[in-house]
Amino acid sequence: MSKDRSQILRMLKEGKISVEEAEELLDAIGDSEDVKVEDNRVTVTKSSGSPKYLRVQIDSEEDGKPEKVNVRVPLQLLRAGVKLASVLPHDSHGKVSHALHEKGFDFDLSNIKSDDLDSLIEALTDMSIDIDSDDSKVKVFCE
Amino acid sequence: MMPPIWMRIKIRGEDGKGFGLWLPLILFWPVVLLFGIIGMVFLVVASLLSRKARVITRSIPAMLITICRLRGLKVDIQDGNEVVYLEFA
Repeated sequence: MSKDRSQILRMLKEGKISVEEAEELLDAIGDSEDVKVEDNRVTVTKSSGSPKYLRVQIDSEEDGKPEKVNVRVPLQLLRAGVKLASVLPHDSHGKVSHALHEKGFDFDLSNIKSDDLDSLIEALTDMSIDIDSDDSKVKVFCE
Repeated sequence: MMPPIWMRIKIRGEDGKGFGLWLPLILFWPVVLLFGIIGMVFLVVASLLSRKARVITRSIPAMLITICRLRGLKVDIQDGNEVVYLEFA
């Protein structure tokens, strides 16, 4: 029996939580939700598993004008895009990389592999970028 | 794996003028499928004759998957009065 499970049962025995509450908490543990029991406080954080979307939110103001960017990209679309890129003929990879280089992206399209993308997406689960300056806020995260 | 059911586009200029479109893509897919089947016949024949057509034929499944994965894509950009909004669902 896990430590959290036994602690929930102990709290039930001591009358600190009701039967229904204990049931809910035990179900939460079963559903691989993150349950933390500290003294009399129980925190349940739903485990989201793998993220579905990459979100980019930018809120800024220039010359009194509000500038907002809110982008939601399905991660499956990224995977599909990589697969589509892999079908492209090899001679066109050079042209795409050159065009990206001209725009400031030093990036070789042929270096992106589907397996690398999977590891990247896995790593993105815990990633969250929060930039807060005087006149702008940038948030990049996965959900 | 389902293709997007609808698409929403909203474009507004600095002067506040623009347009908004709500496209029920689900109505277009049967037509696209019909033309796609006819086009595939020509592509298969062309791919037997040309290398470029072979690349196009090979990329069709990847393109279809990409279209299906568009569901959930949302781009909302606002710069003062200017608005560009695109959503697939």
